[in-house]
Amino acid sequence: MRNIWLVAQQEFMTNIRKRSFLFAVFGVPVLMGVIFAIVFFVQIQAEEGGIVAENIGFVEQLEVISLESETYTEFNNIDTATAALDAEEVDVFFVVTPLYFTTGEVPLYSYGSVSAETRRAIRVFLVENLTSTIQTDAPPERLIDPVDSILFLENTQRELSFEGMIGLFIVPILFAIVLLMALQLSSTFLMSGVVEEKSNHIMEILITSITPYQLLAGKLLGLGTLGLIQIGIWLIMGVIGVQFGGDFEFLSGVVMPIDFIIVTLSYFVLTYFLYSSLLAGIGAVVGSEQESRTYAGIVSMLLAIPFFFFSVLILNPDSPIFTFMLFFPFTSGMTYMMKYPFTTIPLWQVLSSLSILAVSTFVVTWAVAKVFRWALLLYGKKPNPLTLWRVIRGTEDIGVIPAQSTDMEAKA
Amino acid sequence: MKNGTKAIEVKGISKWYGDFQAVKDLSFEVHKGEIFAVLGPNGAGKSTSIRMILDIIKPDAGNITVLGSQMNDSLKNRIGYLPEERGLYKTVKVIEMMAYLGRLKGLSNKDAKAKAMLLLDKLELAENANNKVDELSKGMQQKVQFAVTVMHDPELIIVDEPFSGLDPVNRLVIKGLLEELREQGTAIVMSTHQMNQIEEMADRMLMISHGQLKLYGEVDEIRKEYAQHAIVVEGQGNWESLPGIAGVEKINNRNGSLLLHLKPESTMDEVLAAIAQSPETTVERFERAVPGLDEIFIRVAGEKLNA
Repeated sequence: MRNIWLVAQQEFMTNIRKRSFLFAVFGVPVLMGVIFAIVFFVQIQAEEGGIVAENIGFVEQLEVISLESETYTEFNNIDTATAALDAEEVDVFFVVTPLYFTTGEVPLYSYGSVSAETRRAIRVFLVENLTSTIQTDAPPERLIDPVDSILFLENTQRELSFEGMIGLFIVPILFAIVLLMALQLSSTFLMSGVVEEKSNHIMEILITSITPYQLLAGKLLGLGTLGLIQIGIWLIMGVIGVQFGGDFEFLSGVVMPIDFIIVTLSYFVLTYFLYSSLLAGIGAVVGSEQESRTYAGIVSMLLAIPFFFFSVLILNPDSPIFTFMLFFPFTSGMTYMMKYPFTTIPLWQVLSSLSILAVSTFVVTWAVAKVFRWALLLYGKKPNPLTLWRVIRGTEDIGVIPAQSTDMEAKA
Repeated sequence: MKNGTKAIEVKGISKWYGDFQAVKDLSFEVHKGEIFAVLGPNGAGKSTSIRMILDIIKPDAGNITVLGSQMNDSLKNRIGYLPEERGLYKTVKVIEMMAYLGRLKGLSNKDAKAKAMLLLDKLELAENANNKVDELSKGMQQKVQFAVTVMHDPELIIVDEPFSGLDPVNRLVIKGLLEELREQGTAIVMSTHQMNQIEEMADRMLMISHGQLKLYGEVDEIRKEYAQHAIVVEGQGNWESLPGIAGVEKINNRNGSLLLHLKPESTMDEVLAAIAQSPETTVERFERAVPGLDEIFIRVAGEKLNA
């Protein structure tokens, strides 16, 4: 246990000081924040841009408008309205066409884009006129937007307001991206470390000091902790962001339910061990940084599979493909996080999914530990799948293809 | 045997890689307080044998006892290993790396750092303790590697080509440290191709070729065993008269000396007496011609290659 702890400590301390880790932990959120801020700013600019009309003209080809207003001037036809627009008597005019009741279309005429504020004013003006003969105490705003959805999920006792729903969509998906990045970073560190130790031949010294299993366990533990710290820092930064961003409508709705965080972290830990073990095995077998990254990329693609089905998720979050991916250990973590905001996942499904993931992780880590031990002194030659199977079954001894292959060269 | 206690006892080990037998029924012992040389041509099975001793790979047959018991994890802290392919963490500070590797060998962080500094000082690397490994020259890295091997005061040290990459001065430093460790009772297994180092340092040796034991025993005895029926003579005077001496079959010049090949029936005493009677010569050196290990190695390895 002491050796596992020593390796874990070493891996943790070595990697936490790496520039790539520091950039990933602090630089990436800042970068993302800047990008979001720019997008937000551009959106605000777009909303505030365009002509803010003080005088609005209209042409009625269908009798709708009965209320008088200083802002609105009626014209007999489009030509006279256009002339008024040219003479700058009005800033914009709209036409109530004969097909208005059928299509709802209201053409706007202006010399440039029309601001959202003016469009909203025209909308309110039309609603006021349309409802002038109806007896109601409801303000036009309510008639325009009569429903602010609040969904109460009985199973989880969660209440989703309209704003909250946006927050809830954003948070789990951001969480999924965060976990994906944390997993990628930790696993890649682990794999690179193994490749480095193999390629610079320190591995031979290490395994004469500790067992390969202790080495693997220490690495998994050290870098797993690093991954959790990375997530922790991001969560704290996220919470701070939400606190300071309270004025923004969509951020005010952001909540992080404790059940979601607990289950998500469980998925993270298990998925981390699953992937990192696999990548450590790849690092031990392949032994070259470039090649191992290629294989790692392929393995990591599995993690991102649920994102490819995002459109299906929006249409039907309970689709069988998402149920399958929830039970498939390589995609279960991401699927849970993506599915969570869109539907209520039955508890039995969550527990079964976590159990399958836990068992798979145990089996994969066990198998990789065997391959890891066997492949540590493997240089220059790649084992075929049959050899790896024999290694996992324990019928192949370490050093079948020895380091430097001197003995095999003698044979040749 | 200086101490009389076995550090390694290898009994009839064999190792197969598929159809190829890398080590064939090999047996030998290494004693505490001795430098034991392992030599053999490339691919002879030296690395495989060392890895079996270190329990990196398992023998298919035979038995290995290390420091009195079957190899197990608890013994790892009592062994120091310097592999032929050197390996250090290149981007880590020397002292931090040594402390980590020392802790893996059972030392506390404090002791590991203290021991590391002591060794770095001995190896004249103290001022480089806070340098990153890749900032050191190759020779310096070699010395750090050696320090890592011995920093936990192992009872058994296995070093593979310990002098490769070292200049003559540093070679002397490492040689001195190894001899110091031998004096302290440490068993040292040294695999090398540098025969002069074996002749200078090793007490006993093992030579393997094609996985089989070829020579095993005390270095001096082996050299004597391979000695020719010849004498090396140096001195003053007219040596041209010597061919006429009874008992001498042939004379060769060898590095300023004369190598006198004796007839099978003649003895060294007879030849010495004959030379001493010669008024034209003065003998300054007279000794049996003992071959160097280089010569023995080539003869033994050559036999096998031609076999």
